Amino acid sequence: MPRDPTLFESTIDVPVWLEADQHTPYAERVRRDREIARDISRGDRIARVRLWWRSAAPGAREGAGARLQRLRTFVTTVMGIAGSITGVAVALAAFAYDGSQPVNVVRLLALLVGVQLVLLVLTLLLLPGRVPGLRHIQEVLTALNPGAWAAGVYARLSHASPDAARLLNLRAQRPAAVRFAKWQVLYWSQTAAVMFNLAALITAIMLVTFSDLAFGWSTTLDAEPAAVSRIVQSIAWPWASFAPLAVPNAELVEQSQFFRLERGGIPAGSSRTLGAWWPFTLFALVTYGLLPRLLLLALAAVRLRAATGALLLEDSRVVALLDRMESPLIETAAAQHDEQSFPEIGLGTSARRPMIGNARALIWEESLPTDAARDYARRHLGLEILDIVEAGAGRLNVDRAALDHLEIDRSQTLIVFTPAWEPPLLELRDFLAELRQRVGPDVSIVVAPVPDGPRAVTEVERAMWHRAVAQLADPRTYLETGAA
Amino acid sequence: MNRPRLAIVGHPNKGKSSFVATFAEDDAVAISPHPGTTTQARTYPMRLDGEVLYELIDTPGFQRAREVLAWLEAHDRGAGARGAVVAEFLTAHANDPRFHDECQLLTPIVEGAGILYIVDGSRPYGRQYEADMEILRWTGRPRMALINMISAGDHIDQWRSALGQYFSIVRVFDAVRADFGKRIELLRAFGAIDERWAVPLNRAADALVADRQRRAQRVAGEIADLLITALTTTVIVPLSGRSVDDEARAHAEGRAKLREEVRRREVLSRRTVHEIYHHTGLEARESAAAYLVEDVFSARSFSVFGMSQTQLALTGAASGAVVGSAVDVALGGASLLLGAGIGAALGAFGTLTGAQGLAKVRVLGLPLGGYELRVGPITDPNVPWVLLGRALLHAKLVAERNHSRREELIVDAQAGGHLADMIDAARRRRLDVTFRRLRGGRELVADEREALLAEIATLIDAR
Repeated sequence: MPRDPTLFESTIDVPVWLEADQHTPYAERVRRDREIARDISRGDRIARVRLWWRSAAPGAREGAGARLQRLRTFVTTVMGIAGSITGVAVALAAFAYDGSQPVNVVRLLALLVGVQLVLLVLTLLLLPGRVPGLRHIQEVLTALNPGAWAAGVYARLSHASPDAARLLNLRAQRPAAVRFAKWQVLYWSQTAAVMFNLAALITAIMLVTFSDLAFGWSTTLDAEPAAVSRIVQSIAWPWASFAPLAVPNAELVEQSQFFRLERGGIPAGSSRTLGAWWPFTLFALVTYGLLPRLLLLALAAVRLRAATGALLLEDSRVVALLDRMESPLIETAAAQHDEQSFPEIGLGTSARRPMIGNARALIWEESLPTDAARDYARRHLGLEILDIVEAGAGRLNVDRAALDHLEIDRSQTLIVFTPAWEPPLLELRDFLAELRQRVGPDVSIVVAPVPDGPRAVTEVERAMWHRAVAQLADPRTYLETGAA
Repeated sequence: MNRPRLAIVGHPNKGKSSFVATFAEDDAVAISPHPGTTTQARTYPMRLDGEVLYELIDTPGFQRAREVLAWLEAHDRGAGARGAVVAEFLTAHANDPRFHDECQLLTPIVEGAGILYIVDGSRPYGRQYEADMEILRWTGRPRMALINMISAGDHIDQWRSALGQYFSIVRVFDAVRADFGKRIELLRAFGAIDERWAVPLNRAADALVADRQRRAQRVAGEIADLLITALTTTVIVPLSGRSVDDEARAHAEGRAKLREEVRRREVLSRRTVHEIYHHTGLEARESAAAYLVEDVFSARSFSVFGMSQTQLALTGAASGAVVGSAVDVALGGASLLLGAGIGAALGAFGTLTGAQGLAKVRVLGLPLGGYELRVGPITDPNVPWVLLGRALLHAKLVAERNHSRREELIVDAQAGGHLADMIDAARRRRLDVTFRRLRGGRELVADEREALLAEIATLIDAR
């Protein structure tokens, strides 16, 4: 079973997939996304998008997101290792003791606590985003981050899409991307810092356990033991209540002051006493080194996750997806449609014949009054109508009577006036077929569609009637629309 | 089951399929001036999340109505059995090709569908329609007549008077030109055909109205994204040399790429708007606007690993300072931080000079850096207004277009050019601030995008 993509992978891959998905017909996307959404129980929007992603594209797992995720893991590991090595090295240097002189607690605190607090303050400068006046410092701090370097190199060489490549760009134009990059960089730096402190702490414990260390304090500054004792009490305040043994008392402070000029300067008999500083140094390292970094790492992890989610949800393609998922699906179209296939029939296939003489007429479906029919035949067809019958509008027995009447004289041309605006129905075709049967094959039948009023027959009407007459396949039945 | 089912019936070529295409928003419905285009009864269900709220059934037209009526009259057993006689006709002629169309149109009615009889009110009434109407009366099903207006004539009164003999409800409805409001009004009116249908039809109408509003929102989002993309897009062209000619060539290439990118995005946006309104087959013609990317921001830059010279210098300086600080520590502070200072200066200088060589290094066939010309974003302040105006005009035309229309959609590219002069000053100012922000190279946060979307949605409503 394939593993679920992480939030980060979804944030990279979902928008890229949705971009390509724009070539899928919209109606299909709407139906698909709504149907998937119906199977997803209510949850926050990020969870819904990720569940949708699992259903919509189960095969699209190994995208740029997985590659960038591996890079993130790699960078995190490298940062952790680098932090650990540095922590061990610094601790070894800070606790270095060859027996000639005690470990100077002042230098130790400066290295393991003081420097770290300064770096912590510098790190905190990155948290509020772009601060006027601090921009260049922030840029330096950012540019120094090896994670940002690694991401830049990776984006250039890994052929990641522009969307994916710009994610780790701290100078991105997209605010959500900037937030993401900031917390990602902080996450990496705090990973290194936590590992630094852990390694330093473990190294210190090992040194305390497996070797004998003597601690003292020494400074050029004019510091009275009483004042140093007060400072030490203040530093130890956080753990004083539950670990009183880790708080050096005034006597210890006074006894452990040394001067290098005095070649040791501390009575040898007090070595056991001088060793009593170690709980204080370890507690200081935990309290002022490890704990703030752990808190910052936790904050960075939480904020990074939120920024990753925001990056996903602020993408306009994801916004559109959620809209499709959350809107009721309305469908109104049919599943299938009629094939629209009408063979082309040339309009000029039956040439207009010159007609002179008499004719008999049939008015179909009350297409025009009797007088108007005579006039129309004279003016447009050049034929004089001898007699007129009607059919098509009343009962079928009227049609039969008309056929009986027209059958009597088989010598005259027959004009069938039809309403040009009405479609030629199959019952007209039936009628014309029977008419042909009754009058025989030699009589010319002129189908004459007439307009409703003082207008010419339109091209659309003419084409419609031409097609109907052509379908009769009767060489002596032809169309006359009166068109010039 | 009280699901409303409406059979759309009538003579051929009276707009039955146009009516269905408009109501079902389906531009794949076959519509042509040739009678007999519709050969099968076709159901168009309106589904809300899969639940069918009503069904429209497009049917072929009557072809031999008088013959059918003659058969019915010949088998008449009194008014109470007329519906059964119609059913018997269907049974008797189920396999008769002569009455294929009549069987197709009468079957859904016999199965319980209501009747929507459509005529063309722009052409005169004729007695030949009486056979159709008489057959429909024989079915005994609830029915409504719709007077469609296919062309310019007006015979509505004549039709009203004739239809009134057979139908208790007669309405005029232009299937090709009716706007959305009229469609919804008519949909609710179908509830009068059968009172049990009122609830599902009103529910369907409410859902369609809500969906229409969502579509307008989606279109607003699409237009907002088009503007955001068009105003923030930049293209990077590698510079082969540093001469004026090289730069001019790269600038022309960059502008062409930028123009193509904006055009591509605009075409995609138009297509999405078509799809939102279910006009998937719609062909739109729009005159091109070549002037769009004449005024663009362009800047030459140098980069390695995507880092600018300033970033490289800062990074080098910081790295040098760290190394220098180590020297200071080693000397126990005797150097008075001189090591850090010198290290920073050397680091910055070294990084910048070394970067020139590093840029030429190729890894996996790709140079690590070099000089390039960034072209964009578009700086012409009129461009967003022109894009917005054109997009709004296009959206309006598409939204108002019925699915029974088959002609090409023509959008005048210049028509939206004066949008800025037509909207109120406060809105213009707000939009202008957003456009300037985008031109300045800053993307919008979600709230800002929502605000832009709301402004565009208001403009869509107003037009």
